[in-house]
Amino acid sequence: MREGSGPTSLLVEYLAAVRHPRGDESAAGAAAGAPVAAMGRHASAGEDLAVMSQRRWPTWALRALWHGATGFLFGFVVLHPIAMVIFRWFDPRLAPGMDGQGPASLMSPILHAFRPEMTSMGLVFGLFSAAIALVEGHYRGRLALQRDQLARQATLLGEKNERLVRLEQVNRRHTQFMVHDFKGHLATIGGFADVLLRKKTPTQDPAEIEALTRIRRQTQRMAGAVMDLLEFARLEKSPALHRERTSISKLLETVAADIALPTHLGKVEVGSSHLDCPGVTVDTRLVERVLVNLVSNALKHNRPGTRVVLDAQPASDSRAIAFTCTDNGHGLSEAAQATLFKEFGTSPNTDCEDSTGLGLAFCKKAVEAHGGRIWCESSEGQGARFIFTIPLEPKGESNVSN
Amino acid sequence: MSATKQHILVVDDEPDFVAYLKAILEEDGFEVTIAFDGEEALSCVREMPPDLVTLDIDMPRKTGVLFYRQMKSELRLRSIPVIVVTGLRRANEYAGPFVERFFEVGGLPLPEAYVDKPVGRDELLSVVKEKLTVTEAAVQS
Repeated sequence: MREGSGPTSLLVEYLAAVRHPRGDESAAGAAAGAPVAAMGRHASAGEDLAVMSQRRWPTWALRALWHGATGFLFGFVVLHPIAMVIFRWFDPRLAPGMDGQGPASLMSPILHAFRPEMTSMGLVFGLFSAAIALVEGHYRGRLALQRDQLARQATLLGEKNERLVRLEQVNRRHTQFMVHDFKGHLATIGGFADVLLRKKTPTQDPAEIEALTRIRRQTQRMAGAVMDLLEFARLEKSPALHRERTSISKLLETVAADIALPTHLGKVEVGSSHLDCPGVTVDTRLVERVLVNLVSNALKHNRPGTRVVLDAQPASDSRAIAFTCTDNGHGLSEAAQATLFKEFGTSPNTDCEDSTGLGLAFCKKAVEAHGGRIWCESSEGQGARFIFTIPLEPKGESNVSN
Repeated sequence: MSATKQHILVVDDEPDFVAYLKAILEEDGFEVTIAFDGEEALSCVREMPPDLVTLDIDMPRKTGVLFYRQMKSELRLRSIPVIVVTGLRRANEYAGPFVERFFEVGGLPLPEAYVDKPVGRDELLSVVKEKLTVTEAAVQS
């Protein structure tokens, strides 16, 4: 990332532009072109005013004088005679000596308005009109200025927004590379632990073996979480799947035997109803990750010794397979179930601190990418059952075979 | 299977990953040579042709693709099976779909297999053994 182009400097620039819209020529200079074109007459009037107002009081005084004078003239020359016409129309006695028929009846009150004895009345009209013109001019000027500032800020914001979008894209790409690197490193660590575990001799210290097992499990779990993160980001962009044919029992057995599962906390079993299920065409990696997430959640969020049963059966309409992950733990309250599948929403009553909260959101996304549904059936103290369906006939998504 | 140990050349620029692959393969009874870039790998295969090569793509000095082209254009080395072990297919959403096309050039044979990094022990061993038996059968017939 370049120096000084981070979010902080963007904020500083933006605040400067908002606080000193008139003084900040460097920021406004480039931006001024666009709003003038976009806003037409108003913006250029505002621009004018903005430039003028930098020259302190004489300009605005002149401007006020101009508004006042034109207002006065308008009152004296236009409003006053018109008023005379109207008054005469209301009551002919108000202007005696103004006789005549036809056009003359209109002209005589106008002429009457310019008689010397009517000057004071003209002055009243003129001053009244001048006052209105002054006030109107003042507010019109302010409005133009504000409009101009708004247009400038809109352009600035647009530019910043574009930059932020670009930064976000770069950021996302970098994160992807980085996360992928992590995955590689983690796999190497875990792999070496595995190599060492394989070499174990009868004389080897059991504590050493246990430590190695823990290293392997933790790195595998971390690698899994990292993978979920990558997949989550990928699914958010496009729900393309790498589908392949597989059997349900193979899926379930693989998951139950996953060394990344915290099986030291409880027991994972595979039920027997899945034997009736036909094979499926799914993104194996994703479905496995969903199951692993469900099982490790069940183990982590319950007391040690919890029993988790993985199974699957054809759904009632036999167009889908319903996978179930059932535990005999303390279950979930309704409130917890409501936020369950939200991103980074961990259950409030868990005593588990190491949850990232992405797990179930990832599960939801992965299942929905397959065109299925995921939900939870539980009541407090009665254990929990997570169910998700995978349709047998994939439809309506771009199908990338691997 | 021949009586002597089968010889595998592991090419990757990440020394730890090379060591990992080496550990896995040696544990399973293979003889392993390592090379950290395409240049080194090329001199290795010329000096002593291995039974199989595992190849990374993204390497300094000479990439895996260039190494592959040069190796496969030498008739003597053409029959050596190559397993491409790369993270690119999964890591890079832009280049990922094209990785396999990198190798489609000049009528050269395509790599025997692709394996995605990170690679598990069982996956790697099964692919390596499969490709070794396939080429052995081809040589015998």
